[in-house]
Amino acid sequence: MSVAFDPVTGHLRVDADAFITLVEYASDPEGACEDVVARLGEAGAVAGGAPHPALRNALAAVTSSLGSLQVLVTGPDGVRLHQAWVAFVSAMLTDLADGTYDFAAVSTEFVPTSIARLTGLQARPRLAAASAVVDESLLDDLASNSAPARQAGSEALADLLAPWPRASSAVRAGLWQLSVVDIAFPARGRTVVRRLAWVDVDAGLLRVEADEHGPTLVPTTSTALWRAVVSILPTDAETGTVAQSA
Amino acid sequence: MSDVDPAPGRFPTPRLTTLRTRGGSVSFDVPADWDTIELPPGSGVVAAVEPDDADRFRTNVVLTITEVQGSLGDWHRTTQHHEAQELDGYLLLDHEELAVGGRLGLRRLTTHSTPAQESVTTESWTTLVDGTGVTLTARVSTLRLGDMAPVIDAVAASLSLHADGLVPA
Repeated sequence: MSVAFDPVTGHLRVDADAFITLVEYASDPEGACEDVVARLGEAGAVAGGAPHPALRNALAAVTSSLGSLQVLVTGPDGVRLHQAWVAFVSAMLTDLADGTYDFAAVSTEFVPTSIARLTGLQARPRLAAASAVVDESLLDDLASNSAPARQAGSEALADLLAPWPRASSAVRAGLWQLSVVDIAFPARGRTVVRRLAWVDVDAGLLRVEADEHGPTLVPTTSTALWRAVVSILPTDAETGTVAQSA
Repeated sequence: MSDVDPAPGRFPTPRLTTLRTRGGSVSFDVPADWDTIELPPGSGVVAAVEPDDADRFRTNVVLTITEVQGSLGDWHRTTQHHEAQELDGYLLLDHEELAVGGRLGLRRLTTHSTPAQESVTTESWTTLVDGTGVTLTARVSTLRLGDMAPVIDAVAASLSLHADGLVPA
């Protein structure tokens, strides 16, 4: 089990078991696994029967979140699944792709910046206006934990991007990344679910749009994606709250 | 698969008024109810700021006119480097060549953290006219970008330049 904690910054690096135990310990100390709690204690993440005060905001976001957010980032080299809890002060669990995660509070207004950094959102060449219908199974392959499936998906993606030769060549060269941002939050007695997905092929950006015919790849820009990332978060009117700083 | 409107425009675009400087050689539109500032008069800096009606970052638009040595690309790289060094949490999100005021120009989209720990999104449009650099910069609280994007787009689209009066004889 891996646990490393910096009480000054409040940053915690943990594996999945330790993180789950920490969250359990925050709400029900008696029910948490003693062995894992002991390891958290050795790292200084828990002390005196409670999580370290520097973790208080981040844990409060997990246990009292206004919404849950996931950022899936896949590419030829692997899959990363980051998790965030949107609250008065939010928290992020960043997948380090080695079986461990960084856990930290983040001011809610900086959640879009975190998403931009996690997905490597940046300027790309503009692709000519066109569109390509994409099969759900291709997107599933690109998002798969299986390297052969992602390879098969990338080959199909390269064929699909024939209208944009440079984009197609980039995919064949292994320069592709699929990013999917999902959020779910309760609002006015129902659960609101929003999804934003795009493919970055180095030679351009394509947003995954959906209509009655299924998903379609449509050229977009990082400016449009940034605005969409910001807009995916619940508004104060939707949650009836006002976000605060970490 | 995506179901997020990138520019929901929850508020209608407000009524605009036109600001002019350098004898009218440069002009752009801003919301009519924003406070306007020119410091000092004739300095080549004109700004408009949304009303201070809440405890929040005030969306603002600033136009600067400066003498520039070198090419538009050189100036852009210098500015980019300076901002990356000076601004906390700076992140360049987009940049592109496009027409600014009818001339070859550049647009950049960035975000950074203010000293008050506010997340701000900045969009700027820059062009160079015979050694005179013109930059229009809009800054907005990141979480309000969805509402303010139509206003920012309208301000940017309104920028008008005339070399007469802009470039010293």
